[in-house]
Amino acid sequence: MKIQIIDDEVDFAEALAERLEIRGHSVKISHSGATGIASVNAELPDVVLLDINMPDITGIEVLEGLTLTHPTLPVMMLTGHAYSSHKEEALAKGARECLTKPIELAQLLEKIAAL
Amino acid sequence: MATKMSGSPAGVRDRHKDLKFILLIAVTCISIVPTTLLAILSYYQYRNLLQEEQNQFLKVYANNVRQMLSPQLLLSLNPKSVLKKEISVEKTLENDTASPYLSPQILYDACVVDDLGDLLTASRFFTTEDRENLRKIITAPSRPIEKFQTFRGEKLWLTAQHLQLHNMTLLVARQAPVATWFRFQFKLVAIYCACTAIGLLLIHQLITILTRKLRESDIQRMKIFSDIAHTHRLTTLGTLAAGVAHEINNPLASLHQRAGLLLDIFDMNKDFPQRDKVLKTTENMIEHISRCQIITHQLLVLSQEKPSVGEQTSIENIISELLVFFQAEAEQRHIVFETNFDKQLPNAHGAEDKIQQVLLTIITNAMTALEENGIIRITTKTKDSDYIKINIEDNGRGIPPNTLKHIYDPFFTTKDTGEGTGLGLAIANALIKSLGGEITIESTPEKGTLFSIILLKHIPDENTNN
Repeated sequence: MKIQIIDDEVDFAEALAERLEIRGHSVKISHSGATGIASVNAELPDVVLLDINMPDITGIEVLEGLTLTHPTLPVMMLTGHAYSSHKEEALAKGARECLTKPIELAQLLEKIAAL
Repeated sequence: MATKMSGSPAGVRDRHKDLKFILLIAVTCISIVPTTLLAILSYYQYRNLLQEEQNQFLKVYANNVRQMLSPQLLLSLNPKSVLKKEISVEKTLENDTASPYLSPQILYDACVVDDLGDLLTASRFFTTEDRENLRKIITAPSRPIEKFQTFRGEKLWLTAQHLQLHNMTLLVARQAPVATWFRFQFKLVAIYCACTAIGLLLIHQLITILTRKLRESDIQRMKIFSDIAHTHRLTTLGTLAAGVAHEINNPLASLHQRAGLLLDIFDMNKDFPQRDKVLKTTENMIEHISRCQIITHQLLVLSQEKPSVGEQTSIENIISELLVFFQAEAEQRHIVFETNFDKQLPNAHGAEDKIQQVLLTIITNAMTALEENGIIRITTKTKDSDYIKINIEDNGRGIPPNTLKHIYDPFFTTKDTGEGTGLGLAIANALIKSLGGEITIESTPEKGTLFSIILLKHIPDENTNN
């Protein structure tokens, strides 16, 4: 599957990307909302892994942008917090899933396969 | 005045003792001083008034007497004839009807003395032994003297009139109206004392009450400040903890993925020296990272005070699921679970996961308290009509009163380092409070512990109306 990771945590994103690639997925990483949206527009992935907490454009705003331009594109939100309000908001705005870090890879792979 | 700057109740008490003392003195002085002045003033005023009237009367009386004295009478007077002559008072008094002091009990006297102070007529008050005093009087004629003590120490009003032609002095005396005077003095003093005593009593009472109220309100205020400070400290701690947790979460997430990546890489490479050890080490690292992540999540949960989302939950189900979770360990340690659910069990107004976490913490603690062999009894009932009560009772080692005091404090734990974060109950308490409920604990060391969780009942009718 083609996966786009949008997360400002560089090391986390790279580690996750490598692990996904070992399992045969093709992964692109963007470290900001703007570059992420540009990357999605350039080449449409099968799924987007989007971090909620980002400095310039928030994850929620990116989500809104993505659902507008690519309504059928599944977006999974990743969050480091346990705040359920973020979760609710994301799901309400069209996110397919909301996962809390630490991401259990097995769980993530399951959810991606289920798409 | 040295003031103790302590905020303790003892310090407050001392300050208020001083205050009370000062207030007492101040108010007493302020109220007693005018009263006393007033009393003294009225005393002298009355005395002067009395005196004035007396003197006036006496003057008039003396004039009348004088007019009565004929030159022949005067000429016949000599020291040797003292007892033979007496000036009649009654005749004079006959003419005087308007005096308020006319009273048969009061003695009047009129007599004539020569320039040496010797009596020339008889007198009721004076004797020849009063010579010196009489001399003093006649040197200052026509001037009334009061309080001339003579005649067995009685006070007399006195007036002297000099009879020029004959070198004699007419003395007119009147016994001071002691009764009236003393009665007045007595009344005045009595009233003054009574008023002062009552006044002092009232003042003392009032000031005692006042300072007591002041002290109470001061203590209250200090308690509130200290509560606020305490809450503030906790809030700051919570915010700090949340901040730290937040910061640590990110590197932890990276570590987690990197460690996972290591495992993936080792998986891909089939065999190499020390492979088992390396795998084990990596798995161990992941375990520790996971533990750190649990702690940070607990910290983040503890710091948030947002209201819960209302979901309908069945308490029965939550408890039953949890007991399944504990089944294996319970069997191993011979711990028995007993449950007694109220048949009328309604759905609880609260978030499923929060209640689950709270119950998980409490049951875990109960199991820790039991070690081997024991019973954990879980009962539910509807308390009143708006609440659900969940009791979790164990017959384990109990909680001593000293520990009980701190049991909800964050990071307070009686477990060894690394065994517990001390956050479990702190979080449980915060969670239940955020649901509008309450946790109470009863514990007897060596006997057991009873945790009671009281939650709001969600009224089904409300839901259907929504």
